[in-house]
Amino acid sequence: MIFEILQLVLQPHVLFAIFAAELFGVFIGAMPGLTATMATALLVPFTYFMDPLAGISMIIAMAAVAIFAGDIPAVLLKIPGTPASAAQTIDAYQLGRTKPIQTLSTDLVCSVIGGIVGSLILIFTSPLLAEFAVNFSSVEYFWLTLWGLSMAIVISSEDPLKGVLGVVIGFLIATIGIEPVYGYVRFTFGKVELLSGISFIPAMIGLFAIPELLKQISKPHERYLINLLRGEKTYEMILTALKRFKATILRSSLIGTFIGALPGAGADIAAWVSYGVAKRVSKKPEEFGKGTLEGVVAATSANNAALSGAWIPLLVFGIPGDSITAIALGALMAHGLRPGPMLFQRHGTLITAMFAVFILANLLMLLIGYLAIRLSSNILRIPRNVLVPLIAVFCVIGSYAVNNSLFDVWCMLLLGILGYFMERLGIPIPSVVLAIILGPMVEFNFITTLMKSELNPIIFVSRPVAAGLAFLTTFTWILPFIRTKKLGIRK
Amino acid sequence: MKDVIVSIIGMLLGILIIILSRDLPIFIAKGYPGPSFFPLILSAISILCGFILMLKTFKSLKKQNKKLELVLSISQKGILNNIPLRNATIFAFFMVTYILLIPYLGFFLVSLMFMFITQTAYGVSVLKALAISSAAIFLIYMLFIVILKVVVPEPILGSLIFR
Repeated sequence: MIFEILQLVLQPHVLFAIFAAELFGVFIGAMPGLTATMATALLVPFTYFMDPLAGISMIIAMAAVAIFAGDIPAVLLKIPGTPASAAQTIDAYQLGRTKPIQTLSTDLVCSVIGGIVGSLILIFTSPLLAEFAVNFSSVEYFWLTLWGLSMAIVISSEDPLKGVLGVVIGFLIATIGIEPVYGYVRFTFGKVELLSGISFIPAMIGLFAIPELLKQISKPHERYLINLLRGEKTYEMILTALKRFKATILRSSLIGTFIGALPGAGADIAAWVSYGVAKRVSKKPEEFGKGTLEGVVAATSANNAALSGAWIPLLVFGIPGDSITAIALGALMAHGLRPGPMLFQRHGTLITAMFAVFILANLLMLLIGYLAIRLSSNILRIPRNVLVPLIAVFCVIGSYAVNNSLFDVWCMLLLGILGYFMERLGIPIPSVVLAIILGPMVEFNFITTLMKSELNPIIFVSRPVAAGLAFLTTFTWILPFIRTKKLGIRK
Repeated sequence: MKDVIVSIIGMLLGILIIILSRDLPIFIAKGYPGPSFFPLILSAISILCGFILMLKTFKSLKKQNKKLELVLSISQKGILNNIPLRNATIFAFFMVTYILLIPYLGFFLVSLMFMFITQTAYGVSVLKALAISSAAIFLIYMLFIVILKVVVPEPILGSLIFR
């Protein structure tokens, strides 16, 4: 079995795909403003032309490196490259003013450790959870998807009402085409191209990449001044950090994996929570925000661990843990792989090979990350007005390549412009995307459950697991109100 | 102001769903929900959210006595005075023109023109923009045509024009 897996993972084209994806991840992650989610959306059309393992490996490897690379501008410029690097930016920058290479190298090693801990938890827990999930019926799946959406709304939106509207918009986009239960044609306006619905990959590229490009082109061009990077005593600093903060690294990796595994909560929230916990339990909490390595180590190991954690609900239940895995779900489905407990039974070898890729990608990150640190000043000098038109062309060819259709390119642009205005109005894009992905699943499970009971709503809480999930969903909605009330009483 | 717009969008979206669903049955048979059942639930949620958001916004405006400021903010901030929005609109216009021209001139020629024009429009020197655009087109050709074997849109005007 191990030999078979190694044979699969160590194929030259898979290794090349991982290597190329990591280089791409470094480049996008290190550019302030360009996110790992956008990079994933741009990468998916490439994966379409590869075998499933190579394609999925690219997403796994790219995301891991992009999240680390987001720390590079945080250390050198006090600008987080991706939202996941925001928690440690102030501390990382303060440290980086005198020891940039050393700070980045320690950051890299902790990212790798976080990624590996998260991957190990993914490897050992997901098959067990999959065995448990085999007995789930449409009621449990309905509640599970609803809970995932509720988490995404409550956690990621500034106003839950806007989050709900985002979900409605996403569901509405998902209802276009042939209806999943009876096969009725809905909302196609006579367009043949819309019969199979809005293509998933162009929609992802449009919603994640185009608003980002429109935002970037709107900003005035800045030339970044970066100090000469010096790297004396780098290994000493890494070893000292590993020795002094081993408990922090382990705790943060566990927190990161757990938060990553919650549907809707991603690497950015994991980093903030771990940073907060580290500050609370630290012997020197007053140093947080003034350049403490403990804060950097906590946040960076958590955000990389969260990436692996987010794959747990995706692989076991088919519910993405964050925006990156939401796009990965689209890539898996494009290859005919439907995530869920049956995936472990039908494609066991592929899943095990994917697990091996998680470890390999994190280990390879040491090399790519080291190169990125050395070349960081050059990456950061690439001007935005050169990069944005180039990425726009990639968006066009990427959307076109999936179905060889210009209609998809128009959908991508239209959804992109829609996404730009939604962002300006405070409607969260991740909620929209999650609803597009989960929409058909929610509708199918909802309608079939109602059909089974002939419209009797009691069926939704008739099984113990379903009732538990219903409670969790309700609690997710009530929690913010309880917190607001508590704060009000304290004031 | 943003919240008022979102609430109006929410209510209009709900009404739009109702209008679009009117030709689809709500129930197929007794106890069997039809194809417009789910969209109609969405429309109800959308209208409700829009309504609550509107109420919430007016309640908070009333509390802070901000009605006048809201009117002023609409009249003072026109779209043309908003530089980020103007830049984004220009770029979106470039992209629309780019996609419109692809079937006529072919993917590569239009992409080259698009990159060159947008780069120069946003401050890159002509020579630099030409060099970068050409290099990028070569890279895209190698990646998508040679390696991934993607079939890009051919120009309607025929093979006389480079695809």
